[in-house]
Amino acid sequence: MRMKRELSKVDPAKKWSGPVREYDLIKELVVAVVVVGLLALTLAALFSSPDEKALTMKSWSQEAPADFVQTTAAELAGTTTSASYGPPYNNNGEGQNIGPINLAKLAGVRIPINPANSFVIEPLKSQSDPTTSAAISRWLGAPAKSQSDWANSYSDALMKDGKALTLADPSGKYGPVPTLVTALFTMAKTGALDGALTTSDTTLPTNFTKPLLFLGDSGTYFPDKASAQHLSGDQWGVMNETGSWPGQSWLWLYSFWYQIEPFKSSGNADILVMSLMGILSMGLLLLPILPVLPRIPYWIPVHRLIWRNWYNKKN
Amino acid sequence: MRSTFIKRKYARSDEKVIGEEYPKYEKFLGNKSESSCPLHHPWTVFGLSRQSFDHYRDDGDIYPRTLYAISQSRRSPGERFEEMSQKISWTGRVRSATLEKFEPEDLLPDHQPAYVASWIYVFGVATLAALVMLIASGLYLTLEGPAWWHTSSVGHYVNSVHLWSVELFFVFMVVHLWGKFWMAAWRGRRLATWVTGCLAFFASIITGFTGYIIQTNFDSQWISTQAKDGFNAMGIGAFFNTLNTGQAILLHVSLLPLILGGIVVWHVILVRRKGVVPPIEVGGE
Repeated sequence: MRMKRELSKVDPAKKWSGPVREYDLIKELVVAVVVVGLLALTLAALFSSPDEKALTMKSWSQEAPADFVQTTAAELAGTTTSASYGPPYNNNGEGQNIGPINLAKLAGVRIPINPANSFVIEPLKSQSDPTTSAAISRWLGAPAKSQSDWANSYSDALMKDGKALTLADPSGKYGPVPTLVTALFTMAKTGALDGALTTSDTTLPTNFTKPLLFLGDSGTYFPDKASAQHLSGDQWGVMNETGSWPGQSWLWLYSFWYQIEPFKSSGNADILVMSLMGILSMGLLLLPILPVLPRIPYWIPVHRLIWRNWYNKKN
Repeated sequence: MRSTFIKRKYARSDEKVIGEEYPKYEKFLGNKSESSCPLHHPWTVFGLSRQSFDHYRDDGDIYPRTLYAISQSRRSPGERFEEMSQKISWTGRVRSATLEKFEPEDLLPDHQPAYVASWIYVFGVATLAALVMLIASGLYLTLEGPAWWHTSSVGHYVNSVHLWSVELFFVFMVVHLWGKFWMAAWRGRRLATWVTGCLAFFASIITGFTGYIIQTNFDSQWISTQAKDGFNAMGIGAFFNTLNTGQAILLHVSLLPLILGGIVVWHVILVRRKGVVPPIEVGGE
């Protein structure tokens, strides 16, 4: 009892002067590395790891040709997600707000992307076909309203048809758009578009912003592949891995907010969730100096289980 | 300059010589009457305020008496030089703030308080062990390049080891974190230990995320295109482009491991310095 009273007066900030036990730091570390290492090596041998092949413009145009030509026409019409995204790619969209604050606009357009030019016109300039060159010249020489009218008309017609890869234009209301779309489709099928989209800045590409944004605009091909691998947002998205392998399960709370209202249907879901996670992270960081929360370990005595040997010996 | 001054002062032990050199000290230390603006003092250029040195010189005629007192002490010139150097040289300050805070048995202990006897303590060192495996398998992948594991069966196995190491790493780390929460392990001026642990957790999440987007396969394509929206909305995407694989690779294999490694080292040093938190009823609050 006396010992208990004395121990209760111990200042936890001071060096421990009570009873000790033998310990070997280096031995513990070596044993831990060996055991955990063997565990990792065994799990790797037993369960391996997933490696679903990356999608390409070539695979997209071959496996979902209608989706490819529809997306290409929509890029020219400026109706895709990328075309109306806003910062950091362009000024065509507002981005997301939290209250009056728009952080994306404050950061500015630092990765300039004009989808019609970046994804369609610029890659086509590498083609030597005179028909394509004439179509590019006609497109570039036309006023913005004509470009928009041609592309929107053609995009709507393709969407309405659903399966067509090209449409006849006896009245000329689509302008050069059918030629441009068909030329890009042909280029994609050969694999040339993959190279053209990644080598516009350097011949040794490490930046895949353009092909991934273009692929991200896909209406069905990319999202359907993701849904089949349970990677869609409503399937807890980025915390999953392809197949049955464990993914980034530590992102469960981040993914969780996208599953519930008001985040689920909000146009500002990303900035709201990121801000909320930032606040919660700060809460975890500063938990010891927050009210109430640091008292929980005293109210729910899990520590009695952790230190049960010590308490048993004392008692 | 300051070092020269100290050496000169303590190389001589007789009071007479020190007294004769007093005007030189005044030159180095400056004179308060010259300017009241702290920015005019030469030491502020190096981030050292005048106040840092005032306790050596004091005002007016106290300084010679202080020197006299020092010169009369029984300590050898070398000892006095060491003391002075420790207080005013950058190296001395760093040494006293780091190495001299530790006893050898604190850094490499062969005994622990008797209450350090629970399976929960295993998860801290297990997290470090998983980190060792992560670094080892990651270095192997780095040496062979980002495309190697797609075409080589050995590469695929090493990638699998890297994947399972990161899974184990996070499992161990989260259990360790929960354990420390229920132990209220921030008690006894251990707030910095808790904070560095949390920072290591956050840095691990970012490092793990960049690892997932550099797989150069379908998973990395999907994750990077979905995650870009969150970063873009926060204005971060303008600087960290998840679709730029080259940038993500460099972050994952160089900058982020350095940051994470530094935080982990800092965390472990704090654990060793402060010791393991005692049981709640023992240590009070």
